[in-house]
Amino acid sequence: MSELAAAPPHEQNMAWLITRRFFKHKLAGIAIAVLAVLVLAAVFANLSPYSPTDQEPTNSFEKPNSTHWFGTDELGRDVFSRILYGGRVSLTVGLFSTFLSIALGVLVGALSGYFGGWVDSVLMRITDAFLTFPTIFVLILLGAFLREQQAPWLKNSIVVVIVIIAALSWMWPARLVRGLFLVLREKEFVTASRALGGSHTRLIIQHILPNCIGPILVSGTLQMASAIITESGLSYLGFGVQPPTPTWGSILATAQNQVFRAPWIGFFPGFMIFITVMAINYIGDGLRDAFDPYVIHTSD
Amino acid sequence: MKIKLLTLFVVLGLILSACGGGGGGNTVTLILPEEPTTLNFFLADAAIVRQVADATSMTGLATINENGEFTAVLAQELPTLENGGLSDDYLTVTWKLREGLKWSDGEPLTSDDVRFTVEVLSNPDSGALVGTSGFDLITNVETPDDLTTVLTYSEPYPGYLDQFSYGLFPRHATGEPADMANWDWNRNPVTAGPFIVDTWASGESISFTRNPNYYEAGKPYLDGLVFAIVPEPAAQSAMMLNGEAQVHLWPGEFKADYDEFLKGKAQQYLIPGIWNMAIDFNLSAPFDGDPTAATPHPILGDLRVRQAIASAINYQALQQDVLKGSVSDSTNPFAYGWYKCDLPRKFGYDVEKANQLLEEAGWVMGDDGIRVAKGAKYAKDGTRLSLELQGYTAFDPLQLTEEFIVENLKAIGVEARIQNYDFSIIFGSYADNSPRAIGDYDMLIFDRGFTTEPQGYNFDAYHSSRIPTEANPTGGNYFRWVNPKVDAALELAGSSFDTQVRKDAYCEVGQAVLDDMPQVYLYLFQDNYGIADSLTGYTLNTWGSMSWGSQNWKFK
Repeated sequence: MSELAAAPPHEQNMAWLITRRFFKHKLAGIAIAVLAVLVLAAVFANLSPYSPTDQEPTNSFEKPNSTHWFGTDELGRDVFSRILYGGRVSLTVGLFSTFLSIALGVLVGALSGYFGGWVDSVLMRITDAFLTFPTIFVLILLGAFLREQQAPWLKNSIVVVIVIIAALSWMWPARLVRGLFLVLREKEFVTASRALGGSHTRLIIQHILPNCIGPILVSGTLQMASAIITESGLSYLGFGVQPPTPTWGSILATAQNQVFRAPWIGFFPGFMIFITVMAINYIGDGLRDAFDPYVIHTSD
Repeated sequence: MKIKLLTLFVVLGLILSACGGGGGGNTVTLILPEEPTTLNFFLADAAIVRQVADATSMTGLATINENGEFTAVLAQELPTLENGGLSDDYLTVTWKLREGLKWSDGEPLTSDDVRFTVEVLSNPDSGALVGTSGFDLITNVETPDDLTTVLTYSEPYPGYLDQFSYGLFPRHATGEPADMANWDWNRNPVTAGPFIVDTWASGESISFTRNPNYYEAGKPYLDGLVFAIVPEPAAQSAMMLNGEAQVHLWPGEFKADYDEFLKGKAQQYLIPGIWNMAIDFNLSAPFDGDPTAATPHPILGDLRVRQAIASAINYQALQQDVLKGSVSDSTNPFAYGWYKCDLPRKFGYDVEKANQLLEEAGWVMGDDGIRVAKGAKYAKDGTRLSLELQGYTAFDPLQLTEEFIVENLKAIGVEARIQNYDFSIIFGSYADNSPRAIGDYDMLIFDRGFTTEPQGYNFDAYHSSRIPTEANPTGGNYFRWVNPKVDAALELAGSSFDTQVRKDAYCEVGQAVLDDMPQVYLYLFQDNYGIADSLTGYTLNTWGSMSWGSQNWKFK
């Protein structure tokens, strides 16, 4: 590990090269800015003049206007404020559960693909076992377990939601990464590095993993959108975030019944999920370009 | 390619219009949002079954009309004390069938079919899910002739009319009583009702044609009914707009919007439903491993806290603004039917009063706007006035109500935390650890409904012997409410055949609910149907369904 900590000069160059290459991808730059705006809007949601839960039932289903920018919902609540506050839960759940699921998936997939043999057999059977669990069944069981827990901090905790979503989705990146490792570990540059005495850690982290970044990020962006939607589904099973706390998924779910009367209520959360996923996708795109070893050595 | 596309659209259009039913001629199309699994009412696992079965298999000895009164259908008259149909000791009931009755297949309908119906519904292995109350009390059935059935009961049963109001089974066209769940009859019933099944295209429609042997001469007026299965609300309203359907079950739009949208074509009709929404309070301590009423709830055990909660709810705004007038006011369990009690709310919307009650009860305002105990009756000092509000998921009006009440309670310094579970959990059994059964909840919001014979449900919900425990797992007194006066009133209501005595007893229970406040009633749902202006002879019946009285329908 010491050789990693004291990075030789050419690796500092590489970090700089990656950063530069990332921002050369214009859409990736814009995407970072968009995501930053979304995160800041959620963090500073309390600056909105309206509370996300204060109701004015006589003023329901107002169309978007200068006072209520995104209109009002069926209880006369300001949809704009609800979207801002909803972003707190949805972005947290989306970003962290995806990160956790990818991290776990990469760890399992990398070890499995790199070492092969019995390590591969054991890890992949565990992965298969997780894949065979019917998701709904597991969630209902979890719901029953959490229901017995008296403490609301446990059964309504965002951390629990993040862990549950990650626990049910890490298998796909794990299989993907394993497949990539199986191919890459046979490549000449890996053999060469091994011949030079490179440790397993060094081979995995420095040589093989950077070549997998692209596919991993693509699968990550796909998972993020589904995590935001899954979160709202969990509250139907009695754990996770409960009403009246807004989340993009729950606003979208309740808006379905109002699609003819007040289509804007459903449009805004849908749009927010859309641009978040797009932003992550472009950031992933930029990162892939930046990390792609083939591109680095043929450019500039 | 263009021609191909055009053909495709034309064909698609034809298919779609065929799906829409339309029926044409003298046929009425009714819209169902979901498909029933059976036309046997006694096997009904969902409310949708009755909406269809009322037009065919649910013709029995009696029925409950739009005024909530029993009237004779296949019987010549209702058995009463006056006409001798009911014996003086209430233990013998004599039914007389009309003369010349026939089943839809032409076979005679006789007293033996009444006997067979008793045999099926008193068989514990029949698989019947509903409608079996009282059949286990019938100890003997005599059929002296083809028209007369004499029933002997082991104890007086006030619901003796109700139990024969949901249809009869033909012995010759069904099967073994213990095998009822598997009868072919369930999906193609031989019946005495106005219509019979013609074709059942699963997922599309169920077509009925008129029963040639229907007992009322000249009826039904229509040639047939088509129940079109259309899950999408927008498609349903479009069918009404295009005149492709005449009856629309449970339109999703509020009445004002619906009538505007379908002006000149159809209107939405609201009738008082039977679903009465209330917040139940747990009067006993939750999560103490003891399901009995022994230990009072630390917060809700104090009557003043319950009264404060009742005073914090803006009922008017909830009914009119949040639910747009789609519900009507309700203050107690007896909100309709012959047992209806008009009792005023004891604690109406009054925030000042609510705050005052909480101050008196030893709950002082905390720094975060939520009250904390300081000298409260049961709670330790410093306890936050925070309660869980349980409900069931995937039902919009319920969630809106919860969210509205959370805000109402916040205004008086009470924190209510919504915790919704799936239907199966909220209404689960004691063995399933359903929170209300084992007593591990604070507040629970759901809607209950009674039939015309409310004794069973009420005794179960309010009698102190019905507190669910390990030894008594099926009990329905989820509040853990013990009130000897209520127990006595319920016992009286269950043993008397005098309607006025029974009603007075129920009203005493209703008043006790308002006084002791084990629950707070919020509103009564109304059933809503969209009905085309072209249809006449339609009767709206709280106790019936969309297709109740279809033998009287006509086109203008």
